[in-house]
Amino acid sequence: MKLEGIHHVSSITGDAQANVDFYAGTLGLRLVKKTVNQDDPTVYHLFYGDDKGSPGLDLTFFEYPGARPGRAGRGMIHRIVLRVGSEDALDFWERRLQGGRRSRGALEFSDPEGLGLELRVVATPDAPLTASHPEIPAKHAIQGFEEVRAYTSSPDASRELLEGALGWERSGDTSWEAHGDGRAGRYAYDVAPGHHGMPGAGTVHHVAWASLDDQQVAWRDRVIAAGAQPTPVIDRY
Amino acid sequence: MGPGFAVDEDPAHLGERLVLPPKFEGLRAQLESTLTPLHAPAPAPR
Repeated sequence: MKLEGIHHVSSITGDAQANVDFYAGTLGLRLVKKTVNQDDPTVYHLFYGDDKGSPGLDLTFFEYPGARPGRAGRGMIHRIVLRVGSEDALDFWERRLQGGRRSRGALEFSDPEGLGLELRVVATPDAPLTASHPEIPAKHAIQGFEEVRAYTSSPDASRELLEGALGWERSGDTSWEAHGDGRAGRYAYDVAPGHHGMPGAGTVHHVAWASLDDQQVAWRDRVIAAGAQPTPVIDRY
Repeated sequence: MGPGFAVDEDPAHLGERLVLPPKFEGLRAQLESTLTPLHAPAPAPR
């Protein structure tokens, strides 16, 4: 039983329209679903993805109108890494975003609310998941999730859960890979900053890992056995 | 990993209308009047 990489990443926005403008307008993802928060139907839950809304490139946002900006700290995801196909694609995005921190094979930047993002050139056998956008050549389009990076003060504390229960393979001192039959995704730790984290606009709410449909209950049993406390299986619309 | 967005909506028109879980359909008129309308970029040819 293996997890098939990152299914989706859900974050918080304080301004749904500005969020649409950035993720669908600037980054060129497709707004694939406009619904409400199932725990509070008076506010939006927005989903962006490739043209088909595939698992593997699904960024979702809960809107809390006017939410105060948060900041990532210990125990929180601080950067979402998305794949692109080439250094030429990074050149394109550096021009389009008019900024960011460029290094060989990567471009780091933030969304308008401070959520950390990175585009990274990745050689992978995984099928590219892309959305069509009139201003973005298909060869430069974002191709799917590569990695999420979290802050921790003790990377070994979760090792048993990540390797034992979730079956991830260690791929570096503080990074792991969930490698399924169809797709792969990675989870990495960075040393936590001194300040405390604060949930709010521009912070990640959760990251979801893809399981095959008929294995979901077995995964739940495995994480319970490892000491985690999952929710019941919930039907999301 | 399913069921997938195209189960709930026509794949050609994903994300264009507000989709509600069945238990909230009764609130549609109220929610559509209070949620700020969103403008997404015009869809590109797919």
